[in-house]
Amino acid sequence: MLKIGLLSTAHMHAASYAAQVNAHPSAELVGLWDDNAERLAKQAEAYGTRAYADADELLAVSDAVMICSENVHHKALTEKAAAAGKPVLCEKPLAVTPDDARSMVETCAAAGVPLFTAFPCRFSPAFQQLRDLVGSGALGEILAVRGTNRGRCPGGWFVDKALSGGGAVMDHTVHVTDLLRVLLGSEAKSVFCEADSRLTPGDFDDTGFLAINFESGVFATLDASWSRPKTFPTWGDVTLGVTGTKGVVELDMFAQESVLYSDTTGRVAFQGWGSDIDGGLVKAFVRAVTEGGDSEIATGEDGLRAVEVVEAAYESVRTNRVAAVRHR
Amino acid sequence: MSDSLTVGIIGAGYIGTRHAACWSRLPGARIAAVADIDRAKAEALAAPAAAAVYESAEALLADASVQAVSICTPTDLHRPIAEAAARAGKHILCEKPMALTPDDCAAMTAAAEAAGVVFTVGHVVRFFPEFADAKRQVERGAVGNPAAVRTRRGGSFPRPESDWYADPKRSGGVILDLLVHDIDWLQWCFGPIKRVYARGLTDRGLERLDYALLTMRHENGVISHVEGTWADPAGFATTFEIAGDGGLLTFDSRKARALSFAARAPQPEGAAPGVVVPASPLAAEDEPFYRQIAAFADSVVNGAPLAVDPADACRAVAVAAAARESLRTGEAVELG
Repeated sequence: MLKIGLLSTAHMHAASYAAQVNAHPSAELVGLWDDNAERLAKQAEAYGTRAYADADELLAVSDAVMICSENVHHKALTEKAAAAGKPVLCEKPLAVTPDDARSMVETCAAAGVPLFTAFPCRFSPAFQQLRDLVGSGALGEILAVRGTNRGRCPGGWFVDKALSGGGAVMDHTVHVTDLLRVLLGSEAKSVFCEADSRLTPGDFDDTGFLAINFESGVFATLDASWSRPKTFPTWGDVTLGVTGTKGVVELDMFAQESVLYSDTTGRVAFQGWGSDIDGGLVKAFVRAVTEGGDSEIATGEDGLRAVEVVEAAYESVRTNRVAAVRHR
Repeated sequence: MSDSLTVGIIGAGYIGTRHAACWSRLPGARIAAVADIDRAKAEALAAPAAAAVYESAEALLADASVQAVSICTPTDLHRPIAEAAARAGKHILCEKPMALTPDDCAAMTAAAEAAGVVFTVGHVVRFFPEFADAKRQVERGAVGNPAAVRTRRGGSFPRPESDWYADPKRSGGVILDLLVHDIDWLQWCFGPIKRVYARGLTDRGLERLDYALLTMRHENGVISHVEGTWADPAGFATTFEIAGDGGLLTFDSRKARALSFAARAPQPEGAAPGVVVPASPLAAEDEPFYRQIAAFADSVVNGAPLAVDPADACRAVAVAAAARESLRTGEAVELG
């Protein structure tokens, strides 16, 4: 059994990852640590695992860790895990700056510890089918992609730049950027971005429209906005509209859903029933740690590339011009 | 309409045929003449109305019995024909886009003003009930303060016999020909656009494939994104969404099908077996092209305010031209 420790549950994805570890036949959630005592006690009980007040103690009993802290703490926690020699699956974005992300990659490499980035969308069966379609040549040459990763404003620490490093562009640029890199086999070269703070009160970007140009010549746009209202029937979306010389594909990653009209809650809600992409991510993490070798899981390097696009987007917002993506 | 309005259709292709169908059922209006360089096409359109047939715009414009014209030619001909129509004292409904360049638009507007004729442009999307309703919803504050707006429009590459869409010098490509609809609607709803960043395939010389993505900023701060495709074999579709601080309004024509028909056997004039032909039928008087033509006639006969001011149509062309410039330069373009 692979003993997995959970470092912080600040990010809401922690609950899903914990459940996936608990459900895994050859992994177990050995415990969790959180810098917030109340959250620590509550989540340890919720996930049915042991609470550790000291992260080092948890690391000592873990074979590998998942980091679900606020974005700014990813780097320090990754360094701590690397020092203890424990493989890391870190929530996205890998870091709030490319320099931090590069440092994490190098620290882990120096310690001989594998570092992975939590990009679960790679494990969407619909995306994998799209990737295979592209690979088969059925779409011909890919010319352009329109992407969206829209959501509700998550509030909490996500809108506190001191903890999140940015707003919607920081939160929602990286998933689709990673999918595009996988799909196109090319790196982002430059970015134009219009972003603003107009939907939710507070000093953070809640609207972000990116245009991303790839080295291969393919152009894409990405709506990273927190533009879904509280009454929206689901949390948000991930979509890709791919135009190729031989055809087009529309991917709507979470369209596998039924619609529930509830007089009990007074709401209309989408009930997703598609395959759980977090399950694919956790299985791949366990496989990568126990078996090593090639895996579909995103590496620290992949996480870094996505953060570079975030940096260029914010630069473009400041200058109103196209910003070059600076690779580290 | 009590007074009789006599109309000439210039250009008897797809869109001219649609104009003629609307004119022919507008009370108080009569198609008096049809012109097309292809005489057979003009004759086919003229026959039901027993209208005169001409092989050139000039000949039709010399017909004193014609009071107003629908200009339904390829875009590069809009300016010379509109200027000649104005000189001939004809009221003008010009198809969109108004012209290929903002300079052409200014010249056309000046010619109409100098001649004192009614001049408007066929931004028919303003007459589509879903797009008109969206503007009403925004104005009544249904989504609060609008912030992020998206539209999508397109289908497969348009291919009339003359194939003029395939020449960007004549059509302006997908941005000028197709996305000018969304650009006009966006500016109608959210005010002038001040900055455009565009990427697209128009200048790539691909065989009947055009596609573009526009990222824009309005003077009032609204951010908008427009997707346009002449590369989608799945069929024509439009979508929009308006996100504001008080709500979200969304539309997808693919989900607004009031009627879908799939034939088991081949149809005389229709799709192959098994192909679903979707429809969003409207009452005859609500049909967008009919409403557009009725509004123009109302301006001509009764002096009603123009539904589409030429200045708006000109501004839409200016934004499209800026998007084309952005394709060439790879940079965002600021509009004056």
